Amino acid sequence: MKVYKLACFSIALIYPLLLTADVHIVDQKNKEFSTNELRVKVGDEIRFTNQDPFFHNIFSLSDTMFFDLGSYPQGEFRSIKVKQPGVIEVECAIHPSMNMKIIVEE
Amino acid sequence: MASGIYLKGLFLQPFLLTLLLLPELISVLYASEDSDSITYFEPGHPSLQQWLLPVPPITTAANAVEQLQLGKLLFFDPRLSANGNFACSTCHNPSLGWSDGLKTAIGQQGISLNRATPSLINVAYNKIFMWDGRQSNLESQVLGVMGAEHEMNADYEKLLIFLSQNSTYRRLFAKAFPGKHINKETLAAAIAQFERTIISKNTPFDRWIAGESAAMSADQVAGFQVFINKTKGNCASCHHPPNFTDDGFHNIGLKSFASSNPDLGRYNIKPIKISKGAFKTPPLRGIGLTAPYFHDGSAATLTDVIDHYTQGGEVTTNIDPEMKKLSLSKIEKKQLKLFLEALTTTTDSYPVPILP
Ligand SMILES: [Cu+2]
Repeated sequence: MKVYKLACFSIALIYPLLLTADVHIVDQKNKEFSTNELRVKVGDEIRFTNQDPFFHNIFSLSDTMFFDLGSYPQGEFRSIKVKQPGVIEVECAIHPSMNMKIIVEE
Repeated sequence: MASGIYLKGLFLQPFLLTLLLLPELISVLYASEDSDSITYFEPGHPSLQQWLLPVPPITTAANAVEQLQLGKLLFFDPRLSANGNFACSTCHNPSLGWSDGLKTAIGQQGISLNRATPSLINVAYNKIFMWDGRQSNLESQVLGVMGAEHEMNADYEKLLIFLSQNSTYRRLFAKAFPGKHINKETLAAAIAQFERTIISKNTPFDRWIAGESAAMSADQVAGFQVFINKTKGNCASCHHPPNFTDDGFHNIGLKSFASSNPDLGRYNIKPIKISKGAFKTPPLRGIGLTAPYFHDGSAATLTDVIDHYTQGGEVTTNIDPEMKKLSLSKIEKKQLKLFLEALTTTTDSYPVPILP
């Protein structure tokens, strides 16, 4: 019973987070992102999942958000959480034809 | 009662969320199965068709034939350079696999340049240009090299006067670019159009892919398996179908990266850690003709190339994650080399034009 209560309490705590922050999944497949443009809200998370049998990389040189999440193999993902509105150009340093835009709104 | 409903809703939410994400989960699962799909090593098998080169994008422009005929003359004409002694073909020599046979290129006045001359074989399929990818199309690549001080060092003003005063060139430009002037744009377009005709797509490998079983030997087919197999050669991870390149950038652990002032390659264009010492993956059709190999020309033969990869590179600082020690037997290494040789056609003599 105690465990049950504890579980309910933890879920109740997480619940508001589930409601507000969305998780967007962007696939990396056949040396392409699954979308060229993504609209998200401040606080959202974007996951980049590598589905190719070779490494991909994720980075951005944008002023809105500057990051380099390194390279990772098939089956893994890297994610970012957007903190401010603006446009983020996302690229793969290994495959220059891979690029997309994230538009972050308030 | 109220709390009961609340609890029910609470459990329902994660459930719904999972339900919403289900298609994503399914697609992730299927994709990984998909990308590991089996390749069947039988000539003409559908799983091999991804290696067939598409029709090259040469004839898309109006007057394409006139343009490439003009471009061929310009390509071989040393009068395009400042000193009148240096043509595109000086470094991109058709007798040497459209490269120069040198470790690194030699520019005007014998000045040694940093990097090897890339071959022009199948450049039409290329998506990004130069070893560091600083040019995004063939036309800008042509103008960049022609204008570079230690390369052709062209004085465009003088050059355009020369071309418009030469009656043959004037006539050919008018035919290739009706209504347009002789300028940098039309000059580069003509040369690029010619370069796009340098195609290798009838190698023994291509004929085997198309279904001609005798085109490759059993050893060469075995070498192709080593090439593709992720636990063997793992070569196709970067030398992707159909043109044996991922149009990407990798640090392959060359000895020169350990020098005191190493060539940082792609890092000069995209300052991201992984790009440090990374260079463009060259396509492989025609490699039998383009020795020496690598951007620094440090591998004299294909055997040297295979040895380099087998030991997982020499310098492991910032090395590409795809690079690792390979467990290849002596026979597998030999088969891999024989396969690489199947990517080249025996060369016919190439007629060089008489300049106007
Ligand atoms: Cu990539």
